[in-house]
Amino acid sequence: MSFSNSMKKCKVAQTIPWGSLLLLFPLSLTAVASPARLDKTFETTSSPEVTLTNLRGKLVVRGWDKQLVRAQCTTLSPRVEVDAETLPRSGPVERVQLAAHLLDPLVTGEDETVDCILEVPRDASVEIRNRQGSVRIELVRGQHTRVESTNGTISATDISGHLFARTLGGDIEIVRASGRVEAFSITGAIRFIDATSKDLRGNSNSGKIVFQGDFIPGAEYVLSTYSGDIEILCPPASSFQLTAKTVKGKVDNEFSLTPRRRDVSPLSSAHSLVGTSNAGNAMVELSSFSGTIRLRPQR
Amino acid sequence: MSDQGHERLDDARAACRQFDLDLPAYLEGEDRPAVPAHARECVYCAVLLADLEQATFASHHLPIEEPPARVWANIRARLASEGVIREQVSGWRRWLQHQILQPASAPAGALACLTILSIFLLGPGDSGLKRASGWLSPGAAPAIATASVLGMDKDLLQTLRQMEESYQALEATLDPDLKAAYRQSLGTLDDCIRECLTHCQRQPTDALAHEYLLNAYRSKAQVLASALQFDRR
Amino acid sequence: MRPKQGHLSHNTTAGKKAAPETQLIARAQQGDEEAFAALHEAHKRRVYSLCLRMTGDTAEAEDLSQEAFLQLFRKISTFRGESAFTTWLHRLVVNVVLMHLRKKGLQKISLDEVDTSQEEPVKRDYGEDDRRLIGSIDRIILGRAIAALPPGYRAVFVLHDVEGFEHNEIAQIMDCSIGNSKSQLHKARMKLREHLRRDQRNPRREASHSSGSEDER
Repeated sequence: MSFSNSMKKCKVAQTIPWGSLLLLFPLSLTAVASPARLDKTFETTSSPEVTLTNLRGKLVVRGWDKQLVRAQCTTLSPRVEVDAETLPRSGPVERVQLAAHLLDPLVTGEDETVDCILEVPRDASVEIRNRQGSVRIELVRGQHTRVESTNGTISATDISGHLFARTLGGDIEIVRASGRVEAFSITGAIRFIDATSKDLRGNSNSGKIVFQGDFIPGAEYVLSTYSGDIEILCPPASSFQLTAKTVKGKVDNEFSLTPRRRDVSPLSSAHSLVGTSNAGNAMVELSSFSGTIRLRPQR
Repeated sequence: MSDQGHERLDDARAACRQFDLDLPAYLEGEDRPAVPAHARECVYCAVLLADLEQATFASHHLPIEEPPARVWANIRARLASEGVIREQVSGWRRWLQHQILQPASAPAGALACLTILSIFLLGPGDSGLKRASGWLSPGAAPAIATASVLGMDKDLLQTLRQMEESYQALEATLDPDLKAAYRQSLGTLDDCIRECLTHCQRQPTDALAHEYLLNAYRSKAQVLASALQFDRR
Repeated sequence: MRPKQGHLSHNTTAGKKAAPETQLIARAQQGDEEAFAALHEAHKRRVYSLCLRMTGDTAEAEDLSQEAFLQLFRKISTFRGESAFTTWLHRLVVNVVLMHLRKKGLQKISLDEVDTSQEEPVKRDYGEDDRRLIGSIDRIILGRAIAALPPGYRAVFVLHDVEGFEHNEIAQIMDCSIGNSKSQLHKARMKLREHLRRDQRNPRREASHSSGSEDER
């Protein structure tokens, strides 16, 4: 559907007194056998809420300096549709909801694929759910950024605001995040690079967690795994208070730490290490049930 | 038909039309004496009125339906995973904190309960599906009851059981890649739960192990919620 | 709202005395799980029944109830008390259901649909069955007939005749006028009667009513 046709549909829809707050217009195609491309742009406020729910495919989300949301979606099958809903009906929209769904329940596998490139105002709050497939998001500084994928990878770069990333099996990479960060995976690995966040949490059951970069004064870092290893690579001059605990794993430390009074419960069977590096300006808590916790100076 | 006959017919039609106009207000309880009066004279309008009254009466007496418990289970799990619900300190954690503060008071009965629980949980079953379905298979009610004696959040356990049943119904419809991802995740978490329970059996005062056990249950609930949430196209 | 037969308030969890709803809402706005549970317990049946009557399908009703409560609890911090909580909740539920029906490709939802059929005199049509609807109306048949109503009519009918809302409440829920609500209700009842009579004449024909109307005139 071309942009001009879809705008007409918008206008037609607006004259119908539906008594509903949301305007719905499917970006559907007539039956064609080849991949189809959809391109839709919405005028928005400076900090809209944008959500995208997808079944399968590659999603790329970028912040830009325009008060526009642009969605460019490529569907593999004509039996897959991307719905767009906006709120309010007229004027710059405050909310854009995009959702891919099947028109035919017999569509399965690769035919479900919808690849999207989404450009959003930098101050947008974004929520992305991709059941299968990767998500890459960058340069967004809205209040909330939430990204979920079942078995795809998540890559988040230069995100401010509260970032929440979750996968079951996919890896997560978070680069230069400056707001609150929460990253969770069951079997995927999690990597934090050059975070300037004041509150950073990562949890993976069996995947490895890597933290690379300096610790920010006054910040709190909580990383935990069940069986995955945890690796910290930070400058030798890093200033932090460390509490590292394992139940069955081990702690492998190359930093010179000033021992602290052991404030871990004396009843714990954890193999633990507590100590202070330099001035101890950041709080770092690392725990693993059976994985190895490693701290190495980054040279 | 004579002129008089035509006139009577016209009058009758007019009366029926007036009846039609007054009927909605009459059914709303407004005072419209002409409606029942006309119904006494006109068999057609009487039937219409009776039909509508009967249908309205029957509709008003349709039962209020009870939703299945899994609806709340799914809502709760989803809200918890989104952080909308503030995490409560569960009974399990309160028990745990109590044990840490009073190390000498660990009841011998708790150890016995853990033993019983682990027997139920570590039973045979090596197939992938059994591993994925974990310990909340039918017949796990005694295990849930035992776990709740330990102060574990009964709601969480019950929720997990219901969600797992819903997931098992859904699994056959999943894409193979997705099914594998969920099975791997659930299998990993079940291994985690088993190992933690074994460890807790041997060292019941290990706070960190208890914390891992609780987190494993919560993670399992989140994984199941994720699977169930996407089960609509 | 008129009292609905069989609708009783239920105890909240853990056997505690039911707190006034305003307190529960305030606690839920702070993320209190017990408050969420109590609000859900208090309203789940009406919400589910509304979804079930609107869709005629238990699986869809489950999904829609779930979605409605999720939206409610996510948005509960925005509830300012300008309308009654029940009205606010049901408005949300109706929007969720109507959006779902719209996505399914059913006919447009419009409370301002022009339906001239009711402006003509009601046809009085019966041959041998010139009696009232025979006996009591079977609930399953009634449920099917309700589900066969056009969505706009169905919503008003279910809210008024099944759920017991008054027209001023329905007007707030459906964002329409009281007059509109009354007029839609009457049209809905007339359509329902048509479906029931048709069902009675053809008892073996399973519900394959389309959401549109089959005019017997």
